[in-house]
Amino acid sequence: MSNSDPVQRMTIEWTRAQPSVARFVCSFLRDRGEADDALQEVALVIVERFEDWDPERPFVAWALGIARRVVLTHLRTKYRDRQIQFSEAVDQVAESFERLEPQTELMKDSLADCLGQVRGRSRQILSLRYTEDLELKQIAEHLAMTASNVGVLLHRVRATLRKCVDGRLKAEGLS
Amino acid sequence: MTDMTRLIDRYLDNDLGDDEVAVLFEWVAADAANADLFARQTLLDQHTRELLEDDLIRPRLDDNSDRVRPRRISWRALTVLALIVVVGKLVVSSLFDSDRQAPAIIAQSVGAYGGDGEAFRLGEELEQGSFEVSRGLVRVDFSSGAQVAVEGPASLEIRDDMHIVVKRGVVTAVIPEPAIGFVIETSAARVVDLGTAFGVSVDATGQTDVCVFDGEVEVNHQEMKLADSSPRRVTQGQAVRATLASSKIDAVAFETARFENTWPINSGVLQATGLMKFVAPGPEFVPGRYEDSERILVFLERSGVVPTADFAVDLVDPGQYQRIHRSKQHPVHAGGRIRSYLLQLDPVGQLERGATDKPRVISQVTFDRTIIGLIASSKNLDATDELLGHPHGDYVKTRRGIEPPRPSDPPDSGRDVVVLSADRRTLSLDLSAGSAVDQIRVVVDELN
Repeated sequence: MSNSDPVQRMTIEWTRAQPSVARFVCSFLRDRGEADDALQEVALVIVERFEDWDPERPFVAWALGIARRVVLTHLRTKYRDRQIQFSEAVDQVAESFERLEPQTELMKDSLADCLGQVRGRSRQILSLRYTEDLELKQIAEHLAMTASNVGVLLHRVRATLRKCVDGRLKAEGLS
Repeated sequence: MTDMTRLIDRYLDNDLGDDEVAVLFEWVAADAANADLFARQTLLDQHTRELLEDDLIRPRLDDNSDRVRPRRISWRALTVLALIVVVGKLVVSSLFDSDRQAPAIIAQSVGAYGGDGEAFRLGEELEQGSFEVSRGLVRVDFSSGAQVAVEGPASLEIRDDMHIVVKRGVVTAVIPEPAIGFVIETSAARVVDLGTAFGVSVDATGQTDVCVFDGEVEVNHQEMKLADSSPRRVTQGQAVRATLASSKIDAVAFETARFENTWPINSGVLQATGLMKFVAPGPEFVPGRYEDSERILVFLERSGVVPTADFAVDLVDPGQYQRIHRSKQHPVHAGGRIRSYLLQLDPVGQLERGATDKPRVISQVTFDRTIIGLIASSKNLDATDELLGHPHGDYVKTRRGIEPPRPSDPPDSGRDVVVLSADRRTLSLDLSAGSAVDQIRVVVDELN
C-alpha cells in the first residue's frame, strides 16, 4: 500500500489530528460519554467526506471544521431551552485550537514536569478530580471540606501549573 | 470585573449555572485572545487528565515520599474494602504502614522545652497525639510542607500532617502550595488554609484570634456544623475572633504584636538580638511607616523567588564593611531560589543633617540559610524593589541605603558598620541613622 492510498492517507492524517480534535470536542462537551459519541460522529463524517479535503489545507483545520458543526449540534440540543449563543464562541475556539496545535505536545510535555512538582494536598485533590473523576462535592465529602473550598484549591493548583507551563514555553521561545 | 480564569476553571469543574455559561461564551466569542485563554485552560485540563490517568507524571528527583495513593488502589475501592472487612480501617491503614513517616519533626528550637521538661532536639520526630511546649519557641515542619512555629506555653494535638488542634498558645503558620487545605482547629474555631501565612492565638478561655498575614483562610465557628455553616473568608490584613460565648465570628483589628516572637521562626531567622524587631507582614507594609529609634526592624519581603535575570548586589564576601563602594557591583545570577529580607533603622522624627546625637543601634541577626548578597546602596535597593520587595510594600524612592562616610567624619564617628560572618549566615550591624533611612536588603539562598 503506498502513501497515495486514500485510506492509508486518511488513517495517517486522522491519527495525527485526532488528539487535537478530541480535546476541542471535550472543551465544550464536558460529559465524557457525550464527547466520545461526538468524536465518533466526527470520524464518520471524515470517512464519508474525505475526498472533499483539499490536501493544500492542513488536515487538522478541516477536521476541526467538521468537529465544530458536530459540537454545535450537541450544544444546541443540550441547551435548546436556553438563550445561549454558542456559534461564535465555538468558531473562535476552533481557530484557537488550530493556532495552538503546533505547540500542544510541548505544552503537555512541560505539564508532565510541572505536575511532578505538585505534592501533598494539592496532588491529592488533582488525583481525586482527574484520576478518580470525582465532582467537587464528592471531593469535598472525602476531604471534609466545602465544595467551594475544593474549587478554590483546584483553581490555585491550576494557576500554578499554568504559570509553570507558560514559563517553560517562554524558555522555548513559545508563549 | 469577573475573574475569567476562575470562571473557566469553574466551568471545567461543572460548577457553572446556565446563566454563567452564557456569560462565559459571550466573553469567549468577543475576542480571539479570550478564546485563546479558554482553549489554553481547557487544554491544560485535558492534558492533566491524560497525564494522571496514564501515570505519566515525571517525579521530582528528590521525590521519595509521593503521598498520593497509587491509582489502582482508589479511595473508593478502599472504602468498599473497609465496609466489607469489619476492622476495615485498621486493615487499610496497615497497608500503608510500610512507608509511613512521622507527620512532623522539630525543625528549629530556641530554648524550647516539652511538657516533660526535656529540651526539644532538632530533627526529633513528632507522632500523632498531644504536643506540649512548656516554654521557648519551636518550629515544627510537617511532611505536607506546612511549617508551624509555636510559642510556649502551648498545648497542641497533632492529628496528621494536614491537621492540628491548638488548645492554648500562640502559633504562626506558613503553608506552601502542597499543603494548601491545612487545618488548625481550636475549641472555638476551625481554620482552613487556602494558601497563606497566618497566626492563631488561643487563650485559656478558648478565645481564638486569627490574623492573616498573607493570602487567605476560611474560618468556621465550631458550633456550626459543616453542612449548614457559612464559613468566613479572611484575607490578608484581616483578623477575626471566635469565642465559646457566641457562635459568631467577629472582625477585630489587625494586630500582629502577639506574633512577633513566632513569626521570625517561620521566616528563617534563627536568632536576633533584642535590638532587632521582627515585623509580621500585612497590607499596611510600608517600611517608611515603621519608625523606631531603638531597634532595627526586620521584614521578610519575599520567598521562593526564582530570578530570571542577573541582578546586582553590593556585598557578597564575609568581612567588615564601613564603606559601600558603589562602583563594585557583584552579580547574583539568574536561576536558583532566593528569599529576601529588609533590615531598617528609621528613627522617630526627622533629624537635622550633621546632628551629633543620632540614634545608634548595634544588633545581630542569624539566618537559617546562606546570605548570597547584601544590597545596601540606594540605587541597588531601588533596582531590586520589584523583584525582591514585598508585593504590597510601598518603598519610598529616597536616600535609603547605608551612608558612606564623608571625608570630614572623624574615624569613630559611628558611621554604619556591617559585618558578614565567615559562614555567611550572621549579619552584625552598627547603624546610626542620619537624615536618611538606613536600609539593607539581605538575599539568602533558599536551597542552601
